[in-house]
Amino acid sequence: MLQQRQYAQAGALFAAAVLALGAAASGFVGAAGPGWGRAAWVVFGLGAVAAAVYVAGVRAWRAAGDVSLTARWLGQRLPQLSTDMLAAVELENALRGRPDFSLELAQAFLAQADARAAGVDARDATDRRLVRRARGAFALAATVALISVAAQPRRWWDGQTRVWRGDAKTALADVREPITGDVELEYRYPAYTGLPPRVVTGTSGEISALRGTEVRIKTRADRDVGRADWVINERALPLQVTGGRELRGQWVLEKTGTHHFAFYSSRGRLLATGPDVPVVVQLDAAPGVRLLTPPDELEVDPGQKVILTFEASDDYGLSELALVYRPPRGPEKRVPLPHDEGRRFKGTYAWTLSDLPLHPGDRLSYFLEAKDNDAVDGPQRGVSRTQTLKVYSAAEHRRDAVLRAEQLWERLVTHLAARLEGPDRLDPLPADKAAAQRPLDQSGLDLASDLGTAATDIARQRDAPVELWGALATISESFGRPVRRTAEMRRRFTQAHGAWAASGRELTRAVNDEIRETEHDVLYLEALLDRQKLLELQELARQMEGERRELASLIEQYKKTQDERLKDDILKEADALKRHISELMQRMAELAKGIRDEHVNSEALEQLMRERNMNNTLEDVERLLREGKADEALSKLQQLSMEMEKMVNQLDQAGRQMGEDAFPELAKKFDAFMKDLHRTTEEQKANAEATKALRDRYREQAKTRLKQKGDQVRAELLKTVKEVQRDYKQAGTEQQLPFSSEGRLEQAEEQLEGLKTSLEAEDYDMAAEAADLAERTAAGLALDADEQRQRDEVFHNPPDVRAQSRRRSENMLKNAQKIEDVRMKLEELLPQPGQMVNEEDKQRLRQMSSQQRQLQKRADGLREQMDEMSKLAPVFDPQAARQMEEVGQRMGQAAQRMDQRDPSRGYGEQRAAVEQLEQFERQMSSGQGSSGGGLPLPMLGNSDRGRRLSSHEKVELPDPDQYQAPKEFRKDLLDAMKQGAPDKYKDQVKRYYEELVK
Amino acid sequence: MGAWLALFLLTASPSEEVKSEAKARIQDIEQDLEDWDIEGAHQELDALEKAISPALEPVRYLHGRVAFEEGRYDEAATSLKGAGVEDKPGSYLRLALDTQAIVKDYAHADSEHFIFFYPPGKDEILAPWALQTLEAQRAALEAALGFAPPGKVRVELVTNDRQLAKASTLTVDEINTTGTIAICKFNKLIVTSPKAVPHGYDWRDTLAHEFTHLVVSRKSRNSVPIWLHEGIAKYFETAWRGAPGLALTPSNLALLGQRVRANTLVPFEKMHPSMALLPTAEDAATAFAEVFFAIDYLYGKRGAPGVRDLVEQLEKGDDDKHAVEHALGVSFAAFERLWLAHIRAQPFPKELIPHDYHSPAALTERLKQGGKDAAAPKKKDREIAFGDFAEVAEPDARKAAHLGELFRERNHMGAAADEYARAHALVGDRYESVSNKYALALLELKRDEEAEKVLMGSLRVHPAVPATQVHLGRVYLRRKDFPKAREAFMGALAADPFDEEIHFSLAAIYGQLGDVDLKERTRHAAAVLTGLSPADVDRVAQRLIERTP
Repeated sequence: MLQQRQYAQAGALFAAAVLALGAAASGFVGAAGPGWGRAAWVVFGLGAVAAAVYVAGVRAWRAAGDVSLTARWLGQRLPQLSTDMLAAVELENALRGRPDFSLELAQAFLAQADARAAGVDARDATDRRLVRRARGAFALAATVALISVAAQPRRWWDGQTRVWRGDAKTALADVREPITGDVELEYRYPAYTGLPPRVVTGTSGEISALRGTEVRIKTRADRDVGRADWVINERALPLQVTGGRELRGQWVLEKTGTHHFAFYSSRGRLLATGPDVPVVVQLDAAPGVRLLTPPDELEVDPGQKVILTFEASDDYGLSELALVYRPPRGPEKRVPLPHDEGRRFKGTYAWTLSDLPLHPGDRLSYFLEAKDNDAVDGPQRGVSRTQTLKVYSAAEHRRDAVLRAEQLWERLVTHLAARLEGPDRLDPLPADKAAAQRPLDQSGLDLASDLGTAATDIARQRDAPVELWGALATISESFGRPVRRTAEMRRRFTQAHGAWAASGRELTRAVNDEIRETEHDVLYLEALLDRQKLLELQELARQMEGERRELASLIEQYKKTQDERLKDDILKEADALKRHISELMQRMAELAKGIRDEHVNSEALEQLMRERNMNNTLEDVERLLREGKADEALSKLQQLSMEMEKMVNQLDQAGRQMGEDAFPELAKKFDAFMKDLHRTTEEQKANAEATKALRDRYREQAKTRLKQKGDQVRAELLKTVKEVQRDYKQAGTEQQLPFSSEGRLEQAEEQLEGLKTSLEAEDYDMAAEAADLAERTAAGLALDADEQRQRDEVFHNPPDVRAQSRRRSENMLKNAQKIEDVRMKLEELLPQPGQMVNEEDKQRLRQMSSQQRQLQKRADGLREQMDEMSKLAPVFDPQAARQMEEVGQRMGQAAQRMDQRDPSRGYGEQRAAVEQLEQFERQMSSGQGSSGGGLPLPMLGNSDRGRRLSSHEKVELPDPDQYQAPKEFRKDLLDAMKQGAPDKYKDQVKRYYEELVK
Repeated sequence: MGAWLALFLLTASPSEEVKSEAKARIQDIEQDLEDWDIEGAHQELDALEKAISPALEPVRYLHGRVAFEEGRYDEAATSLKGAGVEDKPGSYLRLALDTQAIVKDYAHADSEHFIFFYPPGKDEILAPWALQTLEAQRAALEAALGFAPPGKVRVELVTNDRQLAKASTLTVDEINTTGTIAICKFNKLIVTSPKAVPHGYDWRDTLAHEFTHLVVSRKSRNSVPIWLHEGIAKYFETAWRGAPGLALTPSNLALLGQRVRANTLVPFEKMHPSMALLPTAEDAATAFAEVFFAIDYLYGKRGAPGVRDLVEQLEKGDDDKHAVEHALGVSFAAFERLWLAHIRAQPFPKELIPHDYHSPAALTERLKQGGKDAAAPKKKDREIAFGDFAEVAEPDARKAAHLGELFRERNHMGAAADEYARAHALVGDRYESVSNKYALALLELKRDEEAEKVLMGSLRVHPAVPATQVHLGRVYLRRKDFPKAREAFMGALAADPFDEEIHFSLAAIYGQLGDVDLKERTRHAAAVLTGLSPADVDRVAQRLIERTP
């Protein structure tokens, strides 16, 4: 047993030796990688187990595994026992069986052997060498392990820590206490930032600055140190140690991580390691750049200047600013923009688009790019959002307008179908069924309103197709009127509970009228839409021809220069043209498909079929160019040109014939109307001229008389007018009048101004006319003010409000009376009609009056013609009809003046009639476009309607740099100047210029 | 040919006897070719080739001519080339080469007396109907004129006007101006496929018409003047479908009536050398109507023997006036008076009816649009088309019809029917477009009886308009009146055989009527046209039958 214990002891020592080596090795290996460290532990652990098992198990068993072996081994170790012990053991075994020898003798031997063995010391019998060797091995291993650990304890410890705790930071850091105090950091920033140095005291040592910043540290160690390291991101930088405790160092920031301090003794022994403290490298942010104007998707003209306003900023400064844009064709381009080098910059740039090859409908995307002055990592880039400029395309706008009108037309068709399929035309008409149709009335009213709104919206657009919005406006009226009547008739019928059959028939009649009217509207609007599509087809065809011409010109150049590069350009151009023509053809096909006109449709399709050859011809052109046959290519292009020309001509012709085919009766009536209108205008002009001659003869005579009489009252009249003017102005400023009277007030002010100017110019004739107008307007204002007063009374408004409206009403009444007084005085001033006319001229005036009445009848006839045409299609709006009525009235008044022997007033009325007729004629002619003949286009009573509508538009305030007046406005002014002044203002205009040149 | 003969006589040195025999044979061959006696020419040529060397240019030339007339275009081209004929426009060599290029990949179908050549593809469906028509016409003409051409007559289908121009030596302009769609020339019939014309044309009557020309030319040895030629062909073109003399439409009649009233008839002598060369399409239509009534008068007086006598008399060498006098037993002047009186006695419509659907003018217009293989107006959903009303001269009716079409396009059938009814009330049956669209709206509203009435009215004025027949067929099919439906769809097939609806419907109808052969024929045609399997065709046909009224 003793021997076995010694084997066990030896085994344990060997195992411990292996473990000691393992403990040392695993620490160092673990420093390289925790996996390796763990592997080392496993290997050495297994080695220890193996050593223990071998020694304490195998060897011990071999040496003292059973009694016989022990006895034999004792016999060898103790000569005094010799083989007796072995014999005693064997004898004892034999006694357990059936021995054939003497039991007594055997037991005696055994007793003797026991006695001899008892006298032996067991320790003398054991072998102690193995234990000794084990102790030696253990001591050696432990020494080696201790020495190696002592040599690099930190490494060993870190290794072990990583082995047992994984790859996480060593527990040491967690537990490490600060070993420095009074940390002071000084940041010296990169030069490009322009920042001054910054000192941070009383900090825990956390570092945070831009990359490239130089960090200087000053701190005090908590103990005396031989030397100290500043370990930044595992890299040790030696610190300057003063007085054993004062530490200084500097370092340039590169990347984020940690830093700590490590103290060593003067012999280099690690004394302490401080905790890891964060190092944060701040990034230089990319610059920001923002476009303030213009808005995205701005529509521009090809040669326009676009004002860009923008702001750019950077944390440390900008180095570059550029406008980057991508034209519709070609690569991206850059325009450097002026800027300062500060951190924030706001600027403007006038971008001229005239240098860019832009076509209508093109889109130009652009953005601003800014770069900062980062000298460490290189300039950072920032961009604004990408915006787009849209090159104004009249065609696109027209297309949108057509699309909108087409949607309304679809609704009109659906409404008509619903009417036709509805029960309203049943006889007898059941009341419940009639009542169920109310929603249809409402949707019809909504549609009429939407038509009007669309007309207004489209009219506001630049280059809006007049006939389209004109048609929408007239249809809004022509369709709305019968729908309102239908709704009213339905109301009456349903209120009568169907008992009154006559009201049912009234409703049916109203519905039938509405159907008839809507049919006209549907067909007319459809024809106008077809016409628009046809116009677009024509435009597309012309566009193709234009592109063909460009290509031909390039080929001509090539022919002259034979420049191969130019040839490449031409081939590219030809390819682009081919593609564009394909697109145009597709568009044309779509358009042609949309045209429902019986006569145009097949022609358009035929054209498009012919189009197929165009691309073939272009392919031939390309081939010939590749072969260098410029002449033949040109000849092919010429062929293409002829094809295109033919197509354009046919489309033109189709456009001209459109109305004649679709509305032959209307076209005929329209033609006759235009002729009658022209004749009437001309005759009215001639009449007016004759009257003018008569008037001028008496004018000079009257002038002298008027001057003498007028001088006496002029000052007084002027005073009165100015007083009223002042009062109106005040009323306008203080907004004393109801909102609805604003327009009237404005009108009155204008008229008074005219009155004042005429008086100042001693033109009493004109002054009387102005006074007449102003009197009527002033009376209207007085009425408005009185109505307001009554309303305030009725609604028991506060006393101060009532008092104010009372005062206002009285004022307005007084003003009206004052102007009436002025008018009467002026009337008195003027000679009585006929007073100065001799007998011969009286006779002449009677003739002229008779002629004038004939003309009035003619105007009435024109009005009737308009009515007849309106029955076929909504060509005229009600205002146009009123305009013609006014012409008739003017003519009638002119005749009356002639009867009263008043050529002066007569001429005034005649001129007014002539002007209105001329305006009417102008509107009619311009409305028909250049095609002449064809479909009669809608005619609105006031050609300024579009402009009038647009005056209510929201106005975008221009940038200070956008000082240029819009092109159209300037054109309007020039056109107006060319037209000259109306006859009755000519004298005043002349005087105005004379004043100017004085 | 005189030059060839002189050359031959100068270059060759046969004996005088051989020379004179060859000369005589050459003249005979030329005369036979001139007289459309191809068999005679062939026999003479065989004899000539035995008498003198076939390698001689004149012999090769004649060999080429005969081979061309017999449809052996390769052989013809080789012989003509060997004879030194130049390949230039108008030459026989160019004609042979062009014709060969057209027909080289053609398939063909044969009947007892005809061989029908057609391009592979959809045209295949025409073959059985074409052969049926021609055989029927042949039998009718044989009975009437006592003559039928020996052997098999070639019929070649061309796919467009350009091919027709190449195969016929007419120019494309001439074809388009005159609305020529088929021609009988070079001992064969050359016919444009109905596929080349939107909604087809009266192709079965046309086949019969051209075959009548061939019969008359051959029987008379090409001695019948053009006015009588066209008169006989026009009069007999309907013989295949039961009776001659049905070809004149109310539209033709109305036009003739107007010309009679205006005393602007076209004199017979102005019809020479070709009706196609008359100044206007209206003149041509008038001339056709005039000659139709000339034969109608003769037929009315003496029946088919009268016509046979006329032709035989011309064959004997009489001029047209004598031949007419012989056939009628009156002087030519008396004939003219009687003929004019006969015309005046016709029940002319009171007002002018728009041009006939199958008139040369209408065909020219439709030819320009291209056929089903071109960008042809295919049968659209609900068959919406506004251009159809371009022919409506009355603005109010046209507007109402236009509105009707707008509503039909938007599926407002009630409103559409209202508007069409208004248009129809204004113009009656004058325009097939208005009637058909009106009927379509009524059919959608299941107002079948009204639709039938409108369509029948239209057919009286515009017979054989395929759309009208199809729409009428729909009415009958819905009513399960299969015999009437068959009649309607067969009428449509005679003009627009590429409308698949016709074949589907006929397959369904023949199925119901138990005509296995025709069911199979129409079923096959539907499959060829649509690409459907026969089983799918059956399903579609079945659905047409089952469609509830």
